[in-house]
Parts: sequence; C-alpha cells; structure tokens
Amino acid sequence: MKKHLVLYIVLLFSVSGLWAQTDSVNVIQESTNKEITLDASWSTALPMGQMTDEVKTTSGRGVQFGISQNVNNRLSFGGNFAWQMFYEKNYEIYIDENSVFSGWQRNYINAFSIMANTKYYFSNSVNNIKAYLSLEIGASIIENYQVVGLYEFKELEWHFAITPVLGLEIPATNYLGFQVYIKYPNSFKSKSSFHYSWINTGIGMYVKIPE
Amino acid sequence: MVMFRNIIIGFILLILVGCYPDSSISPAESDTVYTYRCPDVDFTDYKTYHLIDSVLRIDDYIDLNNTEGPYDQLILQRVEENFNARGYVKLIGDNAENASVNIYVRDLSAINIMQYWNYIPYWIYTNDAYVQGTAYFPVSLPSSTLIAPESNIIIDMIPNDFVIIPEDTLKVYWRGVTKGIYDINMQDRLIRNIDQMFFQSPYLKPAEE
Repeated sequence: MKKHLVLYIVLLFSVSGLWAQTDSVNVIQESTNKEITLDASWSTALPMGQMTDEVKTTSGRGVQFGISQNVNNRLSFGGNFAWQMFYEKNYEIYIDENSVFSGWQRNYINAFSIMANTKYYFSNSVNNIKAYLSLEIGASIIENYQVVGLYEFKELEWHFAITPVLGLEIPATNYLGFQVYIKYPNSFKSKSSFHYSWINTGIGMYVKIPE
Repeated sequence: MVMFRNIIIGFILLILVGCYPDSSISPAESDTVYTYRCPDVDFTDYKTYHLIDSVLRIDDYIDLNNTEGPYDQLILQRVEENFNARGYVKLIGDNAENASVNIYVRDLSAINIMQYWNYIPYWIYTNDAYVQGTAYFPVSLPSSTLIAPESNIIIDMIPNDFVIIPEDTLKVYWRGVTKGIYDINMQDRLIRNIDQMFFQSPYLKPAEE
C-alpha cells in the first residue's frame, strides 16, 4: 500500500516538475482554432480513505472516455465517462459482542461516473507537450457487492462526485497524441453509503477533430 | 455503422465480464462458520459433557429422521476431540445423566435453489414479485439459477437441567454453525470448519483445578 502511494506521489511530482521546468522552452503557438478532442484511456486505481475498509488492493481494471471542445488555446470544456472496478478476496472474521462469523469474502466495487469537466492548459510546453489541470464534476453510481459463502450483500448508490486532475497531452501528430494523468476521484457520502475515493493514474490516446 | 455498433456491444460485454472477476466459487470457499455464546454463561463452571451418539436430522414434516449420513461419525468424533482438547470430560453410559452440559449435533442440509439477476441495470428488474410459474408482466427471468445442495451442521451446547421457557424454546449456551455447498468430499472441510468453531470460541474451557 505504502509502496504504491510513494509511486503515485513520485509520478505526480514528475508531471508537475516537467511543467515547472519550462521557462526556456517553446511557448505554445497561440491559436483560436476550435477543435473537438476525443480521448480513451486505461486507468489504474489505488483506494484511499474510508474505502480501504472495503478493499485495499490496487485496481488495474478501468477505462475512461472523454469528449471536449476548446474555447481557446488555454481552456476547454467537455465530459467524460469512467469505469473502475476493485476486487479483493480475503478470509474475514467478524466479531460481534456474543457471536463470531467467518468465511471467504469477495468484495467487488464497480464505480461508473459521468462527469462534466473543464481543462486549463498551461502556457509553457516542452516539445509541444501540454500540461493541464482539470476539474470534473458530476455523478457516480457505485455498486459495492460482497459475497461471503452463501450470503451476499449489495449496495448501489448514486454519489455526487468531484475529481481534480493533473495531466499531460503528448502530441504524436497534429491530430493524434497520447495522454497521461493523475486523478483523485471523490464520490461523496450519500444517504446510506460512505465516501469513496481513490487515486487514478491513466494512460491513453486522444484524437483532435478540427471544426 | 454496423461495425461501430458491434464494437460498442463488444465493449459493453467486456465491461460486464470484467465487473465480476473470479466469480466462480469453489465449494470449499463457500464455507462459513458462525459461533454464538450465551452472554450470561460462565463456561468455566462446567467440566463434563455428554455428546449425543448420533447426528439429528429433521425431515420436511419436522419429524426426527433416523437416517445416518456418511460423515456423522467423523463429525461426532471431531467435536469430541475438540471438547476433550479444551479439558472437558466426556461422560458416557449411566454417568451421562450427571454431565454438566449436553452436546447435540444437527444436520439441516438441504437442496437450495438460488436465483440471480445480473441484468444491467439490474435494479430495475429485481422486483420481489417474481415467482416462478406465477410471474406477471413484466416478467424478469433470473439470469442464472444455482441449484446447490447445502451442507448445514449445527452444534449446540445445552444445559443438562434445562427447562423449556417459553414453550418450544431451549436456552442454548453455545452454538456452532457451519454452512457451505455440499460436495462429494466433505471430510477435510468438515474437520476444518469444526476446528474453526472452537478456534472462534476461546472461552470454551473449564476452570483449571
């Protein structure tokens, strides 16, 4: 757990450091061309906070899709869809005042989110690599499914969700490129559920379609 | 367009499959062990026990069934070994009447039919009104049905001088329950689960003299 956290932090600082060391490099050519960007990525996730009471294992099952349109060369608006799945199997022992229950427990958490987002691109770039900060606001529906022996428990709740994002766009051609990002999705406490949060890292591709 | 649609359908199927990895469950992994202790009982007060000589079964008509199961002797022997290991003394024959507590072993194994609705979004379809054969529109057929014989062994510790209060209710000092999918080879699982019952009950020991 700690090892993963350190890796995420190192990656986070690498990304922000890359953006910070851009004094002597090219400035993105000012452009007001409108374009639509479609992106798809594979994401991994490390559970954080209260969620670690349910699962602690890093998830490698996740995909995200996005669509956005730029307002100018600094700002874009759009939306995205994400799915992340967490899974853990443990032998659990539950102790109550006068009773004890034990068995193999499987925990499945499937999180689907639909978010609106805005991206702010920093002005400096290295070899046209663009760093951006983004904020996503929307809703997530999270299914928390536990199976212990022949018993099962299922919780399905909508949550209000906010996700800060730090990312990089690495162009390969004028219209195609790669993206990497770190996200911190937060699905806030709902009526009968708790606050889910995790750290996402993702790698994917984007395509820009000029209008 | 058709290709695009196929890609979308393929992707949705991929996500659905990916939602529940490792979902097939082995019979051994279906085992659960539950133990309960009566809060106002001091188990150190008791030193001797009487173990019933056969496993009790109850049929559909709530009558005692005298058939003997293939693991009955194994279960009784393992229960005895665990109580002896804790320091309790087994009383047999005429002395059994003087035992502090009686140990009853019941087998409530049965065939269970479990139905699952895995539609997306399944919460629309999981209506409680669904009854096989008498369902009304809209009918939501289960996406899978598991017909599983279930092993269900219950071990009860009951005081020798028990009184029935209220009617048909016995005060149980200690109870151990193990449940799981019945398998052709239950031997190792039953031993492990009975041992787990005692592991979960460290208070089961008589006072040292």
